[in-house]
Amino acid sequence: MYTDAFLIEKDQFSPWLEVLHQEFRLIGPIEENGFYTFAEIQSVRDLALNYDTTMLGPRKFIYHPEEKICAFRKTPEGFEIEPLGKAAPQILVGVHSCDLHAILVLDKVFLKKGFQDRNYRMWREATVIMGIHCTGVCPNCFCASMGTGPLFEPKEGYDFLLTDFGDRYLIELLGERAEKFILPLKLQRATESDFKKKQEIGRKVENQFKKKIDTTHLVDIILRNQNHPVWKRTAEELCLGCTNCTMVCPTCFCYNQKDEIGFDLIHYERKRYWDSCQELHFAQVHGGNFRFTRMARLRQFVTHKLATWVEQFGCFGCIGCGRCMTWCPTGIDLTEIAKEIMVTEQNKTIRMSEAQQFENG
Amino acid sequence: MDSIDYQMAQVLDIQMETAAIKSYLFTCVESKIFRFSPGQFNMIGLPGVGEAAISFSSLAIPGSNQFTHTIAGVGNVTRFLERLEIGRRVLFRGPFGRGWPIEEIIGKDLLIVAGGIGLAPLRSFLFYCLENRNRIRDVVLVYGARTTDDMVFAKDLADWQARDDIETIYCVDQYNKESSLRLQVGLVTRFLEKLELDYRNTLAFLCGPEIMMRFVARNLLFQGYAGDQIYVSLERRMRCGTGHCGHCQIGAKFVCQDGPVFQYSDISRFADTLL
Ligand SMILES: Cc1cc2nc3c(=O)[nH]c(=O)nc-3n(C[C@H](O)[C@H](O)[C@H](O)COP(=O)(O)OP(=O)(O)OC[C@H]3O[C@@H](n4cnc5c(N)ncnc54)[C@H](O)[C@@H]3O)c2cc1C
Ligand code: SF4
Ligand code: SF4
Repeated sequence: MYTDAFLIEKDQFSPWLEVLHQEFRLIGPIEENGFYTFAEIQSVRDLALNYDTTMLGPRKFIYHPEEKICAFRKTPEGFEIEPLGKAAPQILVGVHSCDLHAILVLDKVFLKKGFQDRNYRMWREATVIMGIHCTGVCPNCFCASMGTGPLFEPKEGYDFLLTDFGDRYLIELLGERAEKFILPLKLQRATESDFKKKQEIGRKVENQFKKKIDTTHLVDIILRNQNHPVWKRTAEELCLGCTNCTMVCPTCFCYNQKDEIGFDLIHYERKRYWDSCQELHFAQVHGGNFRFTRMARLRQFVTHKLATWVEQFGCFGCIGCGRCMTWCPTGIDLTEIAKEIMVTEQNKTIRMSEAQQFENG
Repeated sequence: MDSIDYQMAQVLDIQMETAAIKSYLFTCVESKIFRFSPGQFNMIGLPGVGEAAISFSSLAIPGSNQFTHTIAGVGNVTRFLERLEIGRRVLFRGPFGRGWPIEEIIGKDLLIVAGGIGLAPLRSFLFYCLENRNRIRDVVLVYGARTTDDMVFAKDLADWQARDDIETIYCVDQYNKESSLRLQVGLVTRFLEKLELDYRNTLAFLCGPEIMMRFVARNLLFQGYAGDQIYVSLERRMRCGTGHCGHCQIGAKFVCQDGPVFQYSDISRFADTLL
């Protein structure tokens, strides 16, 4: 695949986006009521590319909170399936490394196993993605621990990748689509020293993380401790079952379905909307509920993100953005849950080696 | 393969199984051939109503586009399907999932344990086994139902009991009505230890309420079966059937795509099952 890298002056960057804006819906971080949020942008001037974090990631513009997946028309013979609308071409500007990884994770969920999700594929293909590297850390993020930042390493999933050099950006390109967009600009090609500078920025950010988690044996440790007291205690003392964690998590993919019937009783629409394993109904079947307790539901979220996801998709379900703990009304922090389990494990190992020493003599 | 590939099917025939359960013979409207294997399922429903996961209770006939579903009305979709009449059309997607491991059964003794409507996906499997009868060794079917009235597939049960190449044990919790079948009273687990099967060469296939499968599986493990000799077919809430909606997840497994049939040892290692 085509790759290249250039330098683009900041006062060249905005006019270029303006030009693209004529053809594409432009989506990026803007400031709203003192927070940053991903939204459709009216003017490139509203873009806040030096944002820290957002409540919802850009996921909502590719995998929508609610969307029509199919439409039917009743006919005398049965039903006809009506063609679906197309996705609007759009550019996602300013996606941080963690959220780029989250999109790669969703690609695995919706596109890379047996069946492909048609809506996701449609929107994913219609979306040009422009990533940007963070220049600082947030109190709750820990991408460095999860291997998803601060620099975005994979050579996939994006069209452009920006690194802020003060008065200009290093702009890395991936794929023919990116090449076509940049061609009219006649930019100066990036050199070895520019990449060194990017690495330095990455290193500087990496040293600032407050939150860390050791992932070496994480999967085994979580799976071995499904009956650890931390689940019940956290669930009963803190968890409100509000579903915030799964709503803000940029890799959560679960959905529910509902049918809407037109007033003419001829047109039907099937819609899907984000669902959450924190809802009581989630694992309910006729005659029982497989996650009846809040403990089981909280354990599902954390175990899925930090353990079972790896067997399912070959990567962690957590990309270390820190959103779930930021927006949890009682501050439940999955890294703290994991650490509490690790402490127990460590104590166990110490006790065992002590016992061994005692036996040996 | 796309997540939203609908097909239309028409009801050709309806069979009463019990007061609450009916079998429907469907035929595909557009396609001439419809292939599926025992243990797989369809997502079947109607616009405006929704979809439900329903196993095939028949065996696919080569070159045919017909299939049978046996449905218990328990909620929105299934109660609606219950009211279907001959000639009516439904939409379905499928077949989905991994069914019974039909490649594994050659040269083996088979123990099939079903509870209630759980016989539906095992019925197609049994048909397959009987078609390949000379390639497998002993076949034992243990079928349990709550009462005599709750037994499904009465005609098949009688046929199987009349054959001498398959041993049948039918049991009910409550013997509430005369039956032409030879019935015993008690839970299925009561009869497992008396079977003369060599556990080292036997594969077990279980479908029924999860709590029943728990006791059966544990009983077999106790007898010496290994966890990977026991297959269970699981039921979970499902919206898509294609491994995306997330509802059916058990640990790292999607019941709709990795299952619904699992090796006991592969699935019981996760939390949130009754196994
Ligand atoms: C692989 C598989 C094979 C199945 N095979 C058969 C079969 O051959 N015959 C048959 O009668 N039933 C079968 N079922 C069960 C059937 O899918 C459910 O009974 C049905 O989905 C309930 O949907 P509903 O809309 O009628 O009920 P709802 O109105 O949705 O709810 C009724 C009750 O069922 C629960 N429920 C919702 N969805 C499911 C679900 N997918 N599975 C179980 N409970 C659910 C609800 O929580 C509620 O308690 C199978 C399920 C699976 C997963
Ligand atoms: S689990 Fe929490 S920290 Fe991890 S990706 Fe999801 S929201 Fe971010
Ligand atoms: S099961 Fe829960 S944690 Fe996992 S993706 Fe679905 S909603 Fe998110």
